[in-house]
Amino acid sequence: MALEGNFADMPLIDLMHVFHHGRKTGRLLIANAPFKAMLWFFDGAIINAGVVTQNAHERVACGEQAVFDMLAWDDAQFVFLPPNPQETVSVQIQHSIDWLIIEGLRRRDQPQRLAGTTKLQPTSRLRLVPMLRQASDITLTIEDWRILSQLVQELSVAELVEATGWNYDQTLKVLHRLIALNLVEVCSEIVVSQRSLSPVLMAPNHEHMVENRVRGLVQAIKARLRRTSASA
Amino acid sequence: MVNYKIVITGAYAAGKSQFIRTVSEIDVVDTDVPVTHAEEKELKHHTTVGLDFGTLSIDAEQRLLLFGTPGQERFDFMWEILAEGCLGYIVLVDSCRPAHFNETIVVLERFAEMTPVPFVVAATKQDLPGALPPMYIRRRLGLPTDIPILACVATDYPSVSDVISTLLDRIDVLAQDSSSSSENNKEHSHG
Repeated sequence: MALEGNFADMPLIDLMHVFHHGRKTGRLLIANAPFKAMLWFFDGAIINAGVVTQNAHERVACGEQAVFDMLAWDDAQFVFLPPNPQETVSVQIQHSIDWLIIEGLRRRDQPQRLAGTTKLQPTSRLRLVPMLRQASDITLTIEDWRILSQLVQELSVAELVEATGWNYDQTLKVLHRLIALNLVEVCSEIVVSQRSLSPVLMAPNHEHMVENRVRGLVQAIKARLRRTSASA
Repeated sequence: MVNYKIVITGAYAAGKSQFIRTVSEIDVVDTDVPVTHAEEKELKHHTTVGLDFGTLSIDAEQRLLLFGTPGQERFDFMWEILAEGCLGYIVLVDSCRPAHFNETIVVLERFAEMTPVPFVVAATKQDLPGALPPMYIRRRLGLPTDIPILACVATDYPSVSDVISTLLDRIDVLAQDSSSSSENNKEHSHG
């Protein structure tokens, strides 16, 4: 078993980013009838790609063009496999993953796809990615910098529209691009409150007793886990 | 004998039964039956319809009980029963099945509604090729940064033990916070 799914659940853009940051080496097999495709990753970079017909195995596209074709697929199945030791793969793609994504989607003029699974609403709050990654061969535009310079603090999409003076669509277009480049992210939205202890532990209804009981119990369980681990 | 309960939950085929099996000192009592739905059959052959149950003795008088919830949503009426009176819970998420992230979000939301006790998230199957990193899974689940998400291999004892220990640390911190806030309240009322 390996990583597998559908582009509807995890778009190719997300897969490319994850493999790049995880410096993965392996093969991404993709099936989108009547085609099938393969992307070869080495140390997080895409080094080769090809699209063929499913039955006759006739070549449809290879190299960068194959990546651009795959970026247009919405409903393909994928599986990630370790490298095949019997296979020698030549390096046909020299550009970075960021360049391939931006260039592929620019050709199709589909900026909303750039953000992968991220769905932006006027109330969505955005911030700079805490750990910015190393420089790549992507050049930021003046529009990109204008948004980035506003995000010294978390702002909503609506606040950014106001701050830049652009219209909503133009702001979204730049934001999608910055999200795809992993420079901007949407802040977490699930709110979970954890304020009380289990009724089992609250039973004595006395704060010090509760604290001592919990702390003693936690230490005892951890000691028990360590003992088992040591004896294993 | 005093028993304490921890619940292991998560979406279908996330590795809950295996997680409990790895750490339990008794043969896990389970209610697994052959899978009937064709789609689910592709993922596993047996599924938990009731619960998995394992134990870990703390000392001669105390015991930790580990309860695993059935994964499929059609059995979610069991969740509330299992969550009652637990010390905390662990949400498992399959690192190799992005298709299950939405189900995991449902589990997280349901448990947050049912019980306010501490929890951690464990990203399982991290030993498999291409397993998604916990940082990406955190983003997809919309988890706040103060909720720990740990890389986990459910068949590996140290890995499972690490997840349980992290949950215990959160329970510990909560106990200290509760204690110090009650001290402050007393000082204010005396002042």
